[in-house]
Amino acid sequence: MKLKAIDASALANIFATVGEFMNEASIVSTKDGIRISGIDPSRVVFLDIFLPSAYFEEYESEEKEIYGFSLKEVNQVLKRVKKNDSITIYTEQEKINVDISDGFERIFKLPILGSSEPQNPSMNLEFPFKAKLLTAVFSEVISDLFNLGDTLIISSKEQKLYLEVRGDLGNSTVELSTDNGGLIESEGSDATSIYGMEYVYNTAPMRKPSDTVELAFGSQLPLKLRYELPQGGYGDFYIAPRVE
Amino acid sequence: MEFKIIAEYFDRLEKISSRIQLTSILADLFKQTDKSVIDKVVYLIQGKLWPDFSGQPEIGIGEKFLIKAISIATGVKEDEVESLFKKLGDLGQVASELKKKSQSSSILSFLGAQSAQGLTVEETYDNLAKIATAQGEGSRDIKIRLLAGLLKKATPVEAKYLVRFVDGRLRVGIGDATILDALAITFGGGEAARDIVERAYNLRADLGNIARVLVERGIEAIKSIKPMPGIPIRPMLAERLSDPAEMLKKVNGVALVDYKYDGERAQIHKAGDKVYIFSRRLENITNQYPDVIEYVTNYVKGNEFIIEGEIVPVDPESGEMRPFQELMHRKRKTDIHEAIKEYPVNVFLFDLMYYEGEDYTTKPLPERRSKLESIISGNDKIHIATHIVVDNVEKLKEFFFQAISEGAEGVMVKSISSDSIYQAGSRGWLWIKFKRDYQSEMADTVDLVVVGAFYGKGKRGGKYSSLLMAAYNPEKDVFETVCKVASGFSDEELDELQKKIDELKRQDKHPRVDSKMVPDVWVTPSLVAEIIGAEITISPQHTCCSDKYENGGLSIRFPRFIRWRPDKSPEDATTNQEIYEMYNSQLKKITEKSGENI
Repeated sequence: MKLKAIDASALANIFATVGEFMNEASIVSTKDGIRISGIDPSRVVFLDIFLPSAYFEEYESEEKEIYGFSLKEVNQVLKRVKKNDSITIYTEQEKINVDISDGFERIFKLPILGSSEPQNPSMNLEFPFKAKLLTAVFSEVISDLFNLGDTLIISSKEQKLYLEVRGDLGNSTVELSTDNGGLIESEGSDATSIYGMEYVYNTAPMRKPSDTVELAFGSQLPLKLRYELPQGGYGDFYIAPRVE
Repeated sequence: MEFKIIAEYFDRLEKISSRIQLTSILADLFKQTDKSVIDKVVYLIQGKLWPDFSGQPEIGIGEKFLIKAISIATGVKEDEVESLFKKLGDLGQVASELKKKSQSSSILSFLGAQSAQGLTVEETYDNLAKIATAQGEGSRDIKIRLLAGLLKKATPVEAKYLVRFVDGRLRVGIGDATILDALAITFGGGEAARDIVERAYNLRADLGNIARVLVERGIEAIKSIKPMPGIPIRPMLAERLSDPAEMLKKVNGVALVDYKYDGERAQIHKAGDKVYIFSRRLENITNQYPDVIEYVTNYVKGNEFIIEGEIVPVDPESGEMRPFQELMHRKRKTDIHEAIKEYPVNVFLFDLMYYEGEDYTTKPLPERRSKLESIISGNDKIHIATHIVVDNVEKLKEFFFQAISEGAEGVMVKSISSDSIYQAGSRGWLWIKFKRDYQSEMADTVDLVVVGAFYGKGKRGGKYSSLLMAAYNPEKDVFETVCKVASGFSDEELDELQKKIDELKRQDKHPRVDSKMVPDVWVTPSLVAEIIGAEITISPQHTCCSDKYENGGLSIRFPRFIRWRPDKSPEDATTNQEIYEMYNSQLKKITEKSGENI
């Protein structure tokens, strides 16, 4: 496997987000692109990231290659990425090489961990409500609400989306709609559900590589956040509801 | 194997207290245990993930984070978990109750994947091990999430014992002895195998390892088990007596008597390049003593052995023993290399249990001791414990007082008969400790006169580094020796000391000096120094008040130089009578310390 991305920091942010949920993960590379998926240790979040071959400046893969790696180690390296760096990741003799370049090259060799192909669920869920919004708007709202409470109540009413926290210090509700410019589009029926705030907040680093996010949920159903990435790529996060 | 089986047995065990019933239920559990996980099951029953000596970390999740994990797993808010905890008083019970009501499911169950409820022993153990070993940045969150993941999958009864395990409060009332009983019944063929299994455990204090050997290779393998470097042996313990005559009687009239050092008892193992040091309580203390590792590597011959001794703090200059508290100071230092310099140690070995594949625990003490002596090469760091062979009470008493005055806490009287084996894990009459019943703590300083000097070793080689100090006896107009002081001098004071002694040194003992000790140089009584010590004790080596005691005179233990007293003449020094009064006024009965080390 070999891939080269011009925007190293976008890739670094994707890995940083995965690192918020998992300690180790597997990259499955095919001719179509790479996929990183898995469940977080607390079994609350399932994430599924897909970066198509067209996402990269250069891309090479066998029919199917699977590499386990430590996110802690990869993210230690990717922390060094600066704004104008490009990045090349390639495998070679039980190592994943990360080559960061902005004129002069820095090469880091990380061990490949033993791994098997993740057994992904079918994910054939129908969500009663869906909305699309700018990641900048979504992450700003979540950042504002994050310190007010542990749980996030999401509800939809008449195509409007409400994000609410009931905390010790008081309640706070944000209304987003196509009318007030908070949503780009929305469709579906009314619903309410509760999610762990920390899990939603931890998807925040995706705002940098992604411009828009699709939010889907239903009463007593998971929250699905799809961060849309260039060239048909995506970062999906399914967060289990809290039952209260 | 399902974790539920263990959890349900724990639930049964919790409700009974009869040892016989406990053993019988535990034996039932062992019968249902998959052979491949027997060691893990034994550790879980012990409430641990691995033996203490392995040096691996503990789980490290406090109550607050346990509550958080329960909250994530059950979907119940943290403050509600907390208030239920206040009501029930047991987080295990809280987790169980909430799991019964909770409909909170794993994300996988929403996404169309089969997500069976219930845990296996393997995944429980592996995840708990991951929780324990998670370190560094973000490890707190990793621990909480891993535990929440386990709890999410657990059934109510599994959740109860999982939480209690992590909380360190299993409450099933199973001790090592009951586990040994149940292992013997289940895999050894019956209660008759109990002694064999226990002997094996005494030689390898790792119940998981013993269970595995028993299950995989049977009772015959257990019978022939030998100590294994890297796994501590349960230490042999001593009885205590206060009458020396009775002690000698107990050991058939003749004994090997060792100094009983006031340090840290240490079992030192070597396996190839690796050295392990285990404490009296079988904790792995290897990291605290890199200096001892170096001494063992350099001065003890052999590739594989297990030896035992006492690690004792010593004065870096004179090599004399220092009080036990200095080891505590050393342990408190964060920089171990600085600690080594400031609080150096010596090792005083007294036994050998295993050498190059041969089990020495079954051999009599003289054989073990002579092997031990033969493998130590000449050095000033690792020594054989100071010892004599005695067959009479007087000699034993004299040696005892000598040990005390040199900084030891007493002596160990050891049988040298043909049955004097190393009784791992048990207390018996083969070893008897002889400690003082009384001690006299020293509250005030004394002013003593220099009557002799000794040359130092190492850095202080060729220089005077310790002084023979005496009190004044006005009745006889002589100076009677009290102690040899080597500590407390600054570098400047030591330099100054050379000149002072050279001016006053003489060929032979001054006629007004009464001394049994012979220093390297005698000194005309003239210099007076203020001295403090830990206590006043009886010593056969000193002459102060020796007319009042049959075993010697009074002496100061762990003396320390404070300052010169040029304002005082030798006749103004503290008198023998004053020291006698200090000794008597502070004399107090010693009560046995808890966690007594032999």
